[in-house]
Amino acid sequence: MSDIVIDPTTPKASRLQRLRLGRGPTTVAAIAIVVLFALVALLAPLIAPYDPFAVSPRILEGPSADHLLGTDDTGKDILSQLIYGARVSLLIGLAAGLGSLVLGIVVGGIAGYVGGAVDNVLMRIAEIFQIMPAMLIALVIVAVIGRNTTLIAAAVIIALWPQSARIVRSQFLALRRAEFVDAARISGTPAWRIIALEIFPVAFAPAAVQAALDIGRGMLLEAGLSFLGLGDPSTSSWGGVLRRAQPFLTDAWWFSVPAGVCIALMVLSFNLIGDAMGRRGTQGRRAL
Amino acid sequence: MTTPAQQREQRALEVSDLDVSIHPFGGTRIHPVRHAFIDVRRGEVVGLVGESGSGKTMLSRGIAGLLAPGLQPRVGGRIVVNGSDLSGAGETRRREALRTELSYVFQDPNAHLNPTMRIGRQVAEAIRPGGRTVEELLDAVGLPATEEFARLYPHQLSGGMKQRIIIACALAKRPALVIADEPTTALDVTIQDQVLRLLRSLADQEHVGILLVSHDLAAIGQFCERVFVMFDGEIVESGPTEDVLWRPRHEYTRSLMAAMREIYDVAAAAPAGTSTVPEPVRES
Amino acid sequence: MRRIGYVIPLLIGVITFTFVLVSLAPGDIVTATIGDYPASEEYLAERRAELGLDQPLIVQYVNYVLSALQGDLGYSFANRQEVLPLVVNHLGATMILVVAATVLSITIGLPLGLWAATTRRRAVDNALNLSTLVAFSIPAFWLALMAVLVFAINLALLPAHGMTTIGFVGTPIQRFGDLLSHLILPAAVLAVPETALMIRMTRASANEVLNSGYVLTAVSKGLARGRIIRRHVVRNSLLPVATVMGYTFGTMVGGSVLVEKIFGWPGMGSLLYDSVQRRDTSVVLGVVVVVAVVTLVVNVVTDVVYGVIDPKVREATAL
Repeated sequence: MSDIVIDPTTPKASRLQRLRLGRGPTTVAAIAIVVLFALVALLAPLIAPYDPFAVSPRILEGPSADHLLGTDDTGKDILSQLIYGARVSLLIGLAAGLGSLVLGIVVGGIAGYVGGAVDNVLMRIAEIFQIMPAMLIALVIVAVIGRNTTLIAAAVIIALWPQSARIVRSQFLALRRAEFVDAARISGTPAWRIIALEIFPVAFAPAAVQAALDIGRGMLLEAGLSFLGLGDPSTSSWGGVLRRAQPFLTDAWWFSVPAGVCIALMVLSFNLIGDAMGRRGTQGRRAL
Repeated sequence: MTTPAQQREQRALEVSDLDVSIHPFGGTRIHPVRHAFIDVRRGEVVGLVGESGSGKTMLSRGIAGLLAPGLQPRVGGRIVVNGSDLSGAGETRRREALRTELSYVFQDPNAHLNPTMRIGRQVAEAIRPGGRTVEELLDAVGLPATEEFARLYPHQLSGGMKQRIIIACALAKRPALVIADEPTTALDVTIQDQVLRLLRSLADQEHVGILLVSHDLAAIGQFCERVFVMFDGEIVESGPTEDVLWRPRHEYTRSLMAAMREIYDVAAAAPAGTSTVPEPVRES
Repeated sequence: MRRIGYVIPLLIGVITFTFVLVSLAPGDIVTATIGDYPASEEYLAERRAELGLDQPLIVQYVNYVLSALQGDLGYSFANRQEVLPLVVNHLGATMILVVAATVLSITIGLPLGLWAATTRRRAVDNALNLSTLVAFSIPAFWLALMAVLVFAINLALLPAHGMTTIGFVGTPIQRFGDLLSHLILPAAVLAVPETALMIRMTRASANEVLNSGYVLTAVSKGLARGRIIRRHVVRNSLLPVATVMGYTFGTMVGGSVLVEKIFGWPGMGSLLYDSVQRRDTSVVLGVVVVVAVVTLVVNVVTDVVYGVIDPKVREATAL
């Protein structure tokens, strides 16, 4: 059970499969967009035409040769803000994906492999973080403790980890009783070897799918926090641009539209990649 | 009008030169059944034996037209069910045959009944206009023919009872042919014999031709008039059960029988209660 | 009773989470929860004594949990009100929004999900799949801004702010119409990701059913495709979707924080936003606890409802 199920994975041993990226035009496009944004983020100081924090008297100017995406209400160049915004978004997104993957593998792996009371307690803890909406968890952590990038990353991971823990756990549960694992156990292979060589490679595929989706969810959470004024004040973030754009919705479309498109494109790319990784040939066995 | 004697002689199924090929998602086209032939008369129980992976299920699904469309199956050859030629038939003709002539009984009764529909309705939806009532069908398969019973849900029944419901569904259309694909494999050993006896008596009393797909040679020997042996996608031997089982001509059947006898000798020596369901051994 | 045994530990878990947060915040628990508003020294002293701040952390924790379980979530100096009634007063507006969005997402999502699963045209399935991914990817607050821009400002079709027109007088029916016109935009925006979720879950669930043995049995009866879908697929596909209603409710409350803020909808989301801006932490924490309680209640209700729909559960209790 989860708050966002992109692909509810049923742990049936017959259906476990290794990671495979489906190829299609949308997947290729998604990877290209991710690479593009990553390059922009890495090279931000080189390609940004202006300092994203530099104010100027030319306020709320439309797109022009000087300012390709116009200026905001304090005369800052919007394109430069968006270029630097890719850094924040990717940073938080990757932290979210990686962090919840690691946490999910550790917690879910222990719960699924050990089972019993340990499993019960760990899954109860995961459930505590699932009855609170992810947005609310991230928001309350940042609002109560403080606003900085590290804390935002931590807040997003805390909000998102339970789902990957559940997925890893169900994989471990299914695999613990799988024949090939039994065979390894009977032949005296130590537990860590079984986990590392037999279970982990199979359990990793669905967890990686979830990680790709979590990157997108993390980016959305970060954008939402910044929009609510809970972003790191020392960074330029897409959500923050939108926060400041709200009063000028009718006067300056270049203020609000490109930033939203950036977020949506970036998140969509990771969702497409996750979807392509998670696609299974379910149509094959259908009777109808 | 045909007399019962004529009906007995009437062919429920004639298959010759059957090829089945499938194209699984992401793979290449494979040919699990090649040049297969088989025939079943009405009132007769015919066995189809072979190890798992030999193509038994592909063959019987191919005959019935029940291969998953996602597998992009191609079925070539001659298939005649109760006198009507289904060779190369399209979806509509296939469905018509499934509605009137031909039934299929599946391996696992626990998976093959709708969990949220009362069993009576599940039997009823297979009845053709003017056919028997649900109660008559329940009675025919040895279940309580009452309205209360028909109102139960599948999870309230035992595995053996569920398989009887599936057989009742199969009889509801008054078919000429019932293909029973490993109908007892998922059941307790004690129930297996009952279900096979039921199928045998239905063949005798209702003049249905039954194709019993199984790897249980003991069951085949006990209940079938004739038997076909399948190996690696082809029918390698066929004939009266006695001949095939005790005087096998094909090398594969011979090794199968030898392995069987070994298992039975061991089983006879072992304490009662251990499994006696033999698994055919592949020669190598 | 079994359900209370399920609800209470989770609730204590949520309260524990808020306690950990205020412990980590600068200042002691009392100053951390009070936030920016000046409180009288007497109140601070009284509250500190109540929670036992001079005692070891474990005692503080137990006192904190016990008072929260009894409904004492503190006092909001910004609103000059106890936190619990303040939050509960804003619950109604949020519930209207969330229920409307749920109804929308179910009525659109379930049929589309079934369509995606049962269609033989791959293009339809792929297009629906892509649409759901797009719906998941658009930030709700940006979608809300764009909806305001297009429908409220450019087309001037619908009101963009508040729950009712200020100073509106009319018959109850007219007032309901007024509420409805204010409800459409925020509910639609909130419903977008939920609808996508419904489509995906229904599709996955229906695919599972289409792979099942009993559908094969239905095919072997020679039944027509449409009849098999109506009789065997629909019901069995929708049952599992019902079980996640409780969780989707929580997600929507999370989304409504941003959506309510943009549409000026006077619910918990707006209250939360205002409290965050004022650093009125006791209210922020109160909202978390109340949302958790409501989500748990919805979970228990869906659990009970599921028992009524699913014959397996129903007959098991009847026998």
